[in-house]
Amino acid sequence: MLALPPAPAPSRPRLLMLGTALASGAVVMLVAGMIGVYLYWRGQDGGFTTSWLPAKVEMPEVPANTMMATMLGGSVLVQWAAYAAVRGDRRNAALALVLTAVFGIAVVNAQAYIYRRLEMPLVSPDGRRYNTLFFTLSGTIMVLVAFATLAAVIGLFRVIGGRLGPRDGEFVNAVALFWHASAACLVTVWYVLYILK
Amino acid sequence: MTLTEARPEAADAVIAAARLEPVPVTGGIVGWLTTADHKRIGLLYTGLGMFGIAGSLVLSALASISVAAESDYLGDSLLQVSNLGTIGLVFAGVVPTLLGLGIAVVPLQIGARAIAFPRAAALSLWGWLVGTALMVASFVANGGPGGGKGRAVDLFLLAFGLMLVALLLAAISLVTTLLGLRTAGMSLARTPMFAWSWFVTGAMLLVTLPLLVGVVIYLYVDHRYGRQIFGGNDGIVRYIGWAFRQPVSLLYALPVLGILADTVATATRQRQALPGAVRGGIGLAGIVAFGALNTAFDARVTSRLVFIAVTVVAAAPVLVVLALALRNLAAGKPRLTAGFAVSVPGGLLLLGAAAVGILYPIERLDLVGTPFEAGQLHLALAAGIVGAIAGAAYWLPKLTGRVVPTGPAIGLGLLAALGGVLAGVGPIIVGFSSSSTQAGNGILAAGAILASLAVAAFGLLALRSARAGDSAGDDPFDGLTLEWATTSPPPPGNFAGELGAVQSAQPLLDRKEA
Repeated sequence: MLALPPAPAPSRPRLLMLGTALASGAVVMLVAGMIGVYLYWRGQDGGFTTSWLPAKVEMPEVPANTMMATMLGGSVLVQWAAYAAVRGDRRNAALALVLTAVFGIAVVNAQAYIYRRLEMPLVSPDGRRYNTLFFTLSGTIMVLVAFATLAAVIGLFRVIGGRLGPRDGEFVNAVALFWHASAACLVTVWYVLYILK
Repeated sequence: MTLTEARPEAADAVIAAARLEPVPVTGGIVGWLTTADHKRIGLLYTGLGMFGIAGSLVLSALASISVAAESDYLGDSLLQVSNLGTIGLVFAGVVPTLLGLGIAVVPLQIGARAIAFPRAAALSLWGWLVGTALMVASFVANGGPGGGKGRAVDLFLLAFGLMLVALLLAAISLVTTLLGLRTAGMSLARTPMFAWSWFVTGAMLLVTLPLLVGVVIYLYVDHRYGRQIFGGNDGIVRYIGWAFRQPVSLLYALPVLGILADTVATATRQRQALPGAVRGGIGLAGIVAFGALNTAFDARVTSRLVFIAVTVVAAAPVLVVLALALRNLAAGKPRLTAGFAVSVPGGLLLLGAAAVGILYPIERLDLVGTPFEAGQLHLALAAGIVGAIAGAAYWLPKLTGRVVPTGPAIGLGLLAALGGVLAGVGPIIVGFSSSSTQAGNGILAAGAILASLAVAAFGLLALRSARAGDSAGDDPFDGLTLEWATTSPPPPGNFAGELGAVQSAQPLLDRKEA
């Protein structure tokens, strides 16, 4: 028989980060699948050589680009928040999370503005598939952004309440991870919907 | 060898400490309804899932009898009843039943004190239950695929989406537990085979089910607002159909391979031969399920090289796992337990499903779009049903502290296997020869009724055993893995004492051999 010293206590696993990583992976798959469906119908309706957008619809590219840049800016901010939260810097973490939440709201606002500018009904009167696919895909992304923004607000309240440091700051790290995943999804969808069209 | 890296006397103390009397938990209905304990959540999932299996099989039988007898007693509802039977069997039956076993058993197997995100696991249970109830309600209100009432069809899509998201939540909880809460010394390569099979299944569900959720979102928006893209009610089955065809169908029953490997190793009291090959086989069988995405929107699978490849490959890893488990069985002197006696036919059914699937892409046979698809699905799901019975018979004594009688459990497991074979063979016959529609549906109906009765009877047997069965003791099967090191039922926190570092996939066998 062996006579070895007792086993050391296992280090505390970062469960929230693991769970968020898995959830983020699922979200990426969701969006990837939805983009696949969009492109499938795009291909069925003549591919990229034909006009896919309804007549008289002009895609507002400036607000779309602004929306994408804002989301990426939010990624920088939320990472700043995570950096500060883990190091116990309440002021920087709170400021960064406030700005992240504002950027999240700005992204949703930009999408709402795009919807208004498009003046395109959800259901095409001439039977085009584009309308429904566009609104469903972009709407799903907005739900993700709204969820990430809500998580940032919850993180803000936790930071204000003093939940900081290597252990309690994990929540903000998880928020950052989910935000980055959402940003990656939004950038991909931006390319598909507003650049490829 | 020793169980732990502690001194032998310390290891004994650990085991002794783990056998302390269980701490009382909140009893009564309120205790069960508000529980965040993984064992209770798992038992609720499994119990309700078995109810879902029995009910769904009855619906499938009703639809088949209607076709076989050329009777129109179901009227316009034939398609709806058939669809509810199929969708219910997968997502209200087999998947949650096996998931429940995973939630209840896997944390114990890996020496975890609790499941990761226990409230999320509880939320997933109730979300899934509400989703299932709404789905049934939608069909009652003339909804579901093929339904005649638009709002009820919308409700079906919402309910289906809710069920899927709830199951995803449970999968996240379970996979996180496996990644983050293993006890000291337990690498992923040392997890028991059932835990490993859930790691693979959970991970693959996490990359597969979101795609189905995405399709359901499109279907809902399209159906609710315009019905211009997906063909309205009739299009729903077409666009979610890939989730009910091979090789994804094999994924739903994959934990059966883990149940088989664990129960055979315990029955023979032998270490699993070539454990790396078994783990690799389970992993590969899970990964090939992803190939079905190739068919998501296009039924012309016979020309898809990737699809043909994964279809052919799918049977190989199942065969490897089964052969290695049976090798263990032949090499040892197995004691007759319900777990291994029932899990072997479960594994054979899964092999049958994978093997039959090889025929599917052969162009000359012209099986695409025929009832053959349903037959292959039924075989895979039958494997899941039989595996669930085997797993429940094996682990319920640990979870409830009461023995499930071996003889009746084996009898009901074999009955369910026979029913599963018939339910699979019937549609396969029809797939080959449309002139045998009546005979095939008759066989399907007989199999579905048989399996339904077996599952319902096993559910009652398990319930009765849990209430008034003989005491199981802490280790009734002379188990090899960590769940048998604690009391039956386990206390809150699962293990009363500190677990030492495990040194192999069979830590209790290490201790017994020391």
